[in-house]
Amino acid sequence: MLEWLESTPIAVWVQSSLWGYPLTLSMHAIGMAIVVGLTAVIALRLLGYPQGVPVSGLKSLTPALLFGLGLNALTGVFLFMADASRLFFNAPFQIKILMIIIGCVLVWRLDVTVLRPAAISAGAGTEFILPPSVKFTALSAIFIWWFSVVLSGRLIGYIGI
Amino acid sequence: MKLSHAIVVILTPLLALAGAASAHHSAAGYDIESRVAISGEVVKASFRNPHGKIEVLAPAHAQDISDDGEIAAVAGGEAVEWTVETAAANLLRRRAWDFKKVKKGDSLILIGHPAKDGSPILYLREIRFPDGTVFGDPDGQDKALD
Repeated sequence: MLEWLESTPIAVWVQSSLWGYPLTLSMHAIGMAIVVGLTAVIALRLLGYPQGVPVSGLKSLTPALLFGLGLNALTGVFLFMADASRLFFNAPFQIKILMIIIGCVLVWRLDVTVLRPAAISAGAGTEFILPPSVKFTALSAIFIWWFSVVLSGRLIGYIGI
Repeated sequence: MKLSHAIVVILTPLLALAGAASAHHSAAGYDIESRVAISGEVVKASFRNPHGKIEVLAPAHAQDISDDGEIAAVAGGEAVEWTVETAAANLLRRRAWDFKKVKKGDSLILIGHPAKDGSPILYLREIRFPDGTVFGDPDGQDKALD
């Protein structure tokens, strides 16, 4: 199965063509910047920074966040296919995937508990009060993404053959 | 603070560190200060990005290389399968390596950095072919792992 993935036309294009790998990896880095950057923007606002920016406006960032996630899911699958038999058993890669799942759940929780209700309250002209647990979820989301992308992702290249 | 959140935040960095630490023992570091040679037969060659791999059947003991580039006679040992890691295909293309010239069954001399722990792996720097062709780095830029 893993060997077969590596022999598919997309995998061969990433492995062997002049532009396949550089282009896919660059797109993956841009997607990463969007996901991690927008998560940080949302989470920092819920932690109180910058002051004076209404929480109700954060909901409008989710399409861009989903675009980044989609871009990285796609390019990530391509990169995985190109090196499947190594990555599947690579500890930092396994940790990275686990972290991404946790990160997505935390962002989804922020959306359900804060972003959506805050936008709805603003539309209805009512006041929205931040639930007390949200700061912790926001902080967790930032750290989980940093661990998954910045640490685990980069260590794939340095730990294990 | 919800308990489930606390568990996630505390456990995940620990998991990451534990994973990194255990994997580190199995990962073989290369001794980039030294270069050795192996002479053997190509079993499989795949030049890829970001790294390529050539499997070679060669004696277990690598051959030393003197300061003037002379390769010592085969130190002996049974033939084992060496895993030879290469730099990115794109980088080697810029050094004018013609990948089609490395074929299964070819007898080649491969020069590179040995593993620090003595396992049969090599980080490839140079290939010498029976017809006298040499693939290497004409600019001498290959001082760090790439």
